[in-house]
This record gives sequence, C-alpha cells and structure tokens, in this order.
Amino acid sequence: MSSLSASETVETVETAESVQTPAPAAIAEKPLESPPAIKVEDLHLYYRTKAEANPTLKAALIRKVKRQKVEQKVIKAVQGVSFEVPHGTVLGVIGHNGAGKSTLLRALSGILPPTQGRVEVRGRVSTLLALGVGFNQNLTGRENIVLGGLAQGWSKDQIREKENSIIDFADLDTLSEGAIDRPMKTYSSGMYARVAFAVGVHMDPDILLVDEALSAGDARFKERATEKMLELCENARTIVLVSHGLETVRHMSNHCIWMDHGNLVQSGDPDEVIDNYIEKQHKDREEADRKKAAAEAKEAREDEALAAKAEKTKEALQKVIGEDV
Amino acid sequence: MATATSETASVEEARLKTPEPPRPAEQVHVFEPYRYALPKLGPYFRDVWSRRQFATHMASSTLKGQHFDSFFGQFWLVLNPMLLALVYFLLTTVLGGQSGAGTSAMNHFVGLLTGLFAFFYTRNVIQFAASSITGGGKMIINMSFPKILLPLSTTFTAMLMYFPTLLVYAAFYVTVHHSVTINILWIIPIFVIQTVFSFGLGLLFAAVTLYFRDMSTLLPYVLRIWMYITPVLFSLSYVKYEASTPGSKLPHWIVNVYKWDPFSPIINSWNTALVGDGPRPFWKGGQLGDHYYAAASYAPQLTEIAVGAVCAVVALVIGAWYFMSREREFAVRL
Repeated sequence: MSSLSASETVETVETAESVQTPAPAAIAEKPLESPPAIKVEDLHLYYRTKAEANPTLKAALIRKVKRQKVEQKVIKAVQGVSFEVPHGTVLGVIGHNGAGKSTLLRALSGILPPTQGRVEVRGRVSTLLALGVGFNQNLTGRENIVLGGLAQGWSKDQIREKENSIIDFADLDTLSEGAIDRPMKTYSSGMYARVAFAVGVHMDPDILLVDEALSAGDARFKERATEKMLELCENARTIVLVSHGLETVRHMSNHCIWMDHGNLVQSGDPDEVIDNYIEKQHKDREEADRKKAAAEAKEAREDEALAAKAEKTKEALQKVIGEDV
Repeated sequence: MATATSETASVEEARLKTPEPPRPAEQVHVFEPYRYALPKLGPYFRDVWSRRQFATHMASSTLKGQHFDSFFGQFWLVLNPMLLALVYFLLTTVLGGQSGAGTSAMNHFVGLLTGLFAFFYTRNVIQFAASSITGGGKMIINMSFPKILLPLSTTFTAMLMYFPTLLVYAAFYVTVHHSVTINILWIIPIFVIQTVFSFGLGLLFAAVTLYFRDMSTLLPYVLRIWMYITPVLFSLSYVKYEASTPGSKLPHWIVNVYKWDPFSPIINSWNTALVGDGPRPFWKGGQLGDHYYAAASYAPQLTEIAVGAVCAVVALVIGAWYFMSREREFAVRL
C-alpha cells in the first residue's frame, strides 16, 4: 500500500515537471521585454525558535550562572523555492496550513530576511497581509484611513485625494449611518475589515501581496472586493494571492503555485494545480481515514484480546475458587 | 540578464532594450540573507524621509487616541509631573531640610520642577521607545518599513507631551520672577542636545528590549536611580559644595559619580540656563562665602555644553548602529 502511494507522488511530481518545463519557455520570452516583477531564487527561510517563548534577561543570567545553552529548534518554513512572476500576473498560492505560504509572502515583501537565496521585486509594493495594520482603535474610520495610508508610505496629499473613493468603497453608510466618523472600536469585525481592505487596495501599488484578506466581510463586499482585484489585474498589476479559498484562486489567478512543507510542489495553470491539490487532499484524507480505521481495528483487536484474556483469567479463577470450594 | 551583477545595470539594460516598458522598474528591491550590518544608509534614510509624516501623524494620533488632545487630557499630562514634583519637594525639604539659607519654598519648588520636567521628558523618550518595537509587533510583522520610524514616532509623542508642561513651568517661573536674561535662549540648543541624547538611548533600549523582554520592567528602576545620580533634584555645584565642605554628610567620591554621568552636563546646563547654579539647590540668590550667586538665568559653561553634545552624538551613533544593524531581524524575533 505504501509503495503504491509513493509511486503516485512520483506521478504528481512528474506532472509537475511536465507542466513546469514548458512554462519557463513561455516566460522566457517575456524577460526580454521587461524583467519579471518578482524573481525568487532558491529561497530558504528558517525560523530559529528558542525553547523560551519570552526571552528575558533573568533567564539569560540564570543560564549564564548554570552554564546552560539555549536549545534552538529550526523550523524550515520555506526550503528552496524558485519562481518568477511576470508583470500583470495574478499568482495564486495554495497549500495546507503551515505550508509556508504566508512566510513566502513576508519574504516577498521584505519583512522577513531570507536565510538563503535571493528575492528581487520590481515596483511599488503594497502588502495586505493583515487587515488594519497601523490602525488605532480609538480613532475614527476617517482618521484611520489617513493613518493606514501613511503607514503604507503615502503622503497626506495623496491620501486626501483618495479619501472619498476609499470611503465610498468601504461603503459603511449602508451598514450604519455615519460610522466612518465613529471610533473604530465601535465597529463590527466586518466593518473594520472593509475599511482596512479599502485602504489596502486603493494604494495603487504595482505589486499587491494579499494574504487571505478576501475572506473578510460579507458576500456582497466579497464580490466588490473580487471586482476591485480583477480591476487591478486588468491594469497590469501584479498580485500574489495566498488563499485557502480554492475557488477564489481558480477564478482570479492566471498562474498558481502549490506549496507543501516549504517546498514548491507544482507551478502552472490554476485549474490543473488546484485539481491536483484537491486530488492530493482527498488522497491524504483517505490515507488518514485508512490509518485511523487501521488504528481503530487494531485497538478493537487489542480490546478483544484483552477481553478474552480477562475471560480466561476469570474462568481460571472460578476454576480455582470452585476447586477450593 | 540574470547574471547582471549590479542592479542599476540590469535596469538600464532593460530600458535600453525596450524604449517603453509597460511598467518602468523604477523601484527594485533585493532581499538577501541578512548580516549584522547597517543597511545602505542612503536608501534607508530616503525611505525614512518619505515616511516622516507617518511618524509625526502616528505620534499625534497616539495622543489623540488617549484623549490627550482635550483639556483634561492635557491637564493630566501636566498634573502628573507636578504631583511627583510635590512628592520630591516634600522629600527634599522635610527629610533633607534643604530649604534652608537663601532658599524660599517656592523657589525650591520651581527649581525642582526645572530639573524634573526635563528629566521626565528624557525618561518618556527612553521608555516609550523601549516599548515601541515590542508594542508595534503587528506592524513589523505585516509591513516592510524602516523600523526606526517607530521609536522616532514615540519620541515625537514624548515631545508633544513635554511642550504643554513647559507652558505650565513658564507660569511658575514668572511667579517666582527670576531675572531673565538673554542667556535663557540657551535652553533651545540644550533641548536639541537632550533630545538627540535621549533618542539615541531610546534606540538602544528599543532593540535590547526585544532580546530581553523583562527590560521593560527593569528600565523604570534604572531610570529612577539614574535621576538621583544626575543633578535633577539639586544643582551640581550644591553637590560639589557639600562634598568639599568639611564635616559634610556627603562623601567626596559622590562628585565623581556626577562627573561621569553622561546626562549630567546636559541637565546641569539646562538648570543653569533657567535658575542658575547656586551652591544651595535652586536658591533665590545671595552671598555665600566670598561669592555672590544671583537667582537668574546664567549662560551655561560652554565646555559643559560641548561635553553634553559629544555624549549625545555618541549615544545616537551607538543607539542607531545597534538598532539599525539588527532591525532586519526584528520580524523574526517578535
């Protein structure tokens, strides 16, 4: 059984390669016109986590006195990923939790320095990794638009120009009249997300890095958000989209990469990659189910054996007692 | 193309090949493994400059968020150091019995305010900066920007909190009517030196707090002790006078402590420029021995200011170097 699954993974890898081989050729023509928006070369990103969650001077001194060393665990979040993203591409990144998607995005935006390898990004980058970065809960929505815009590196004049269209886009008035001039701590999480998302996409970036931000808000807002993103794509913007919403990725992106345990499994057409990913997930689930079933069966067998043993002991005991009596 | 060693060369190359590229690659960011080294200072400070409004706006927003833009908010900002000044006043007059010859109670109180308000400013700059990195976690982990903006912003916050207290101080100052001379203008360069000094230390503590989180609990004690070994509650010449007087309670070595404290020349210049440097703490003037001390704004000693300025620059360079060479690691450490 295990050999079977192994051969299947090989098959997936082969398809991945077969997809990958024509892809660089297709992309290769483009760099002659313009260099890619994003170029990632053999990117490795490791987290060194110490055993202590909260590093303190006290703990350091105690270690010094006891002459202990800190145990360091290395978590390899991204291990040797290379790809190129031409301008105007919407790249979907999929993979299970902890596959290294967000870490990859943080490396692209320059937040996390690579442990090894190189990242090259051309253009003005705007990140939507988390909603409402730089916001102050005590200030009104309007004030936070200014603050969020400044945090993204805009000048006050530029923000003033966009302010009205941001407020229109967030469309808070339909939810609650005059909400934009109330402190943001009075907002619902959906309203908060609307303002934050509106600020993020109005920043007119060349490259937009989005992490799960589309999942915010209700259905209607999600639709508008998707529309806005499509509009950005049409204006030859480059977007890297990390999402668990496979249908969103399928709908929006024109290229897709699948990450697993920090490795690039497959890169290519979104439909193909997503289908493979779903297939793999099914297989994994089946595999897990099978393992679980096997474990349960084993447990049941053990239980049975135990029960039989108990029965035997009981019988033997009765025998002894009976003989005694 | 890919082997192009210099970035500008590859960009130029691309421009030459295509007269009108769809998106001119005007900004190229290259991210490579970090070393403990300073980032390229040119682009770094250009980035800081382009985001300067963020730092100032965040500072005013922080205060606004805490309602410090309202009257009672401002009132609290002033009341807090005033109450502390009262505590120290009681401490020095009742326990120390210092309001003796030549010093009226009011004079002494204003003298205390002079040093205390200035010291609280430095204390706030350092403390706010120290928590700016650990407190700005969400921003650091989700956005790429020069991290120096965060302590810079908290320094602006401290400054905005400081200025209203100075107005109140001015009111007290006028009531006890020290004679004001042109020398009072010295407080402007001294303020600048003090800000640079505090900001430098703030940068250092901002980075250190990330590695040792309990620094934030340790720091208030360090700062409080530091206040006592700096001429805040009394003048430097008082310490010297007392230590040199035979039969005094003060041991002579204490003078060296004050002499080697890098903040000492700055705060002493500040006190001198405002209330003079009499051998009794902030007294109202008079003859002592064969020397007459007036209660007035004196020109501080130039050597003292020069030493203070050197200390400030050294603090800034060390703080900025330590902070900036490590700031790429902050996102990983948080």
